[in-house]
Amino acid sequence: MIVGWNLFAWFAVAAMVLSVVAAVAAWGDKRRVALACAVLGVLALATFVALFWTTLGRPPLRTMGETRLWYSLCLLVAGAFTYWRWRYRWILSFSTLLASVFIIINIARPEIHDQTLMPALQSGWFVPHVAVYMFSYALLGCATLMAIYGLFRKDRDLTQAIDRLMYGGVAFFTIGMLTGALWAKQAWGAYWSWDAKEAWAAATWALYLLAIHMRGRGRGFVAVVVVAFLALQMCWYGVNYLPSAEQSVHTYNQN
Amino acid sequence: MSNLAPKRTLWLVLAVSATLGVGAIVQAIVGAFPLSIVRFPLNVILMTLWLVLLVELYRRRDRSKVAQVLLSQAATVISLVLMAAVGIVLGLQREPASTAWPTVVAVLFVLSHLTLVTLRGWRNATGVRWRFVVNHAGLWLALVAGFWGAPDREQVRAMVTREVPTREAYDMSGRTTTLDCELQLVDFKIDYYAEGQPSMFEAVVAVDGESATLRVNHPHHRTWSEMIYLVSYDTESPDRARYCVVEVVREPWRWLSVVGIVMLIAGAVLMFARGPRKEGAR
Repeated sequence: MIVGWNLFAWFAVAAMVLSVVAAVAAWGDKRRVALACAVLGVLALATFVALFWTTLGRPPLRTMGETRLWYSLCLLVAGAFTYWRWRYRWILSFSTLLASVFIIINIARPEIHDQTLMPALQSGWFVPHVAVYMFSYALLGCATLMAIYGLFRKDRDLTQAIDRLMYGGVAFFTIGMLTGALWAKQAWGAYWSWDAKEAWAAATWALYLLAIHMRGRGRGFVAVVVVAFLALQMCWYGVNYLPSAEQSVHTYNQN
Repeated sequence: MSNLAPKRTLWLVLAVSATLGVGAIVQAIVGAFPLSIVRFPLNVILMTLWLVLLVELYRRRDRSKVAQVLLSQAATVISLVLMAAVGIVLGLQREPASTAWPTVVAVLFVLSHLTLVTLRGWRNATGVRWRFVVNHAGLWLALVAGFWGAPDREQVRAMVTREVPTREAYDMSGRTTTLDCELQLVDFKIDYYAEGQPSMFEAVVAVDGESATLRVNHPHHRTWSEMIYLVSYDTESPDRARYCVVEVVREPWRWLSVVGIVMLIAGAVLMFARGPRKEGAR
């Protein structure tokens, strides 16, 4: 079965519809319906990823379009998990909205690519490094939204959920960054070379560690979380637009 | 950690600016950090003196103001802001000045704080705090290997031909150097995708007469501290390549980095598995 970007819209629309139904059901306190639809929405997008992977003959983790695809999937997973664990009625709406933005960008601007995988990316580190990063971005995205929401509503459970998401996100970010360092040694001979992407990853990591050391401290904490999330956007795709990234060894994910 | 009140934030900004400013002034007076001078054994001597000084400071932490400042929660905030600032500045530079004095001063401050904090917090009344230890000591080891070990790192490139074995190489500034092994190209293979892009290329190189296969992501481990990488090849006639370019990297502090990275990964797994401490436990 050959599945490419031309079929993405069908799977994506199915995932979005199911996620919207899940979000509406969550607001209406129909927990089982919400959870079932959220899981089915995840499965719809996951099926596309699996078939697309098989068709490409390589993991779809190389281009910006492909990383957006994983980010949408991980956001839906993180939203469903958070709803299942902490029962926030609004979290499914947020995760659906955010995932939909990335899905719509991919539908409106499908980045068609060849099926090749350049030699530098042919490594056992490739899939764990990028997949772990995408999952951390999704968790940290949810944590940021909840931290901003927490400015307007004091809730002990909310603080606990933000802490959990933050710890999970930072843990996965750390693993992504360090698997990248080990891979860089195999590929280029240096664990860390302060390439533009690596420098922004270090800055993002430091800011999230700062957030963890300031957890539960009101507006200062939220400010650091928001700044860290902005740095994360620079690290993920913003860096590609900087002159400093022209010589970057990480430019294979640009289109 | 207390809330960051405006006065405290001002002090924080001043401390970070002062640290980076001291580095900038030193840079303006003496130029770039003399990486080549601080090589083994000088780096080990300096590191030992630095560690002895920190341990002594830690022992006098009840009386020493410097120790109290370095052990304070404000120092943690300053360290992390410094790390972020260094990352952002280097991330904006076309040629990142990772050995500029402001970076060196910032990393030295972060490492000094981390050393004292790790000494203080590795155990509590109930025993060893394993998550704290693997995270903090792991970061300490990785930073120590990267900082004090940087002067001992050597990276040179050599053009390896089929005709004659070579020992000639060039460092990153273009200076000629002599390798302690002989390299000669034995064979070169390249495969292509249907679109014409290379899907795989590999070189068989004789290293002191012994055959080694080099591919991207598959370097040759010559010794415990030295690896040889395939960097480029004869792009004019790749199917009958006359030469390839290899990079020889010697990194004696490499295994310290590996231990630090593995400890940090273990720490991240524990962080995810155990989650945050309960508010009451703080």
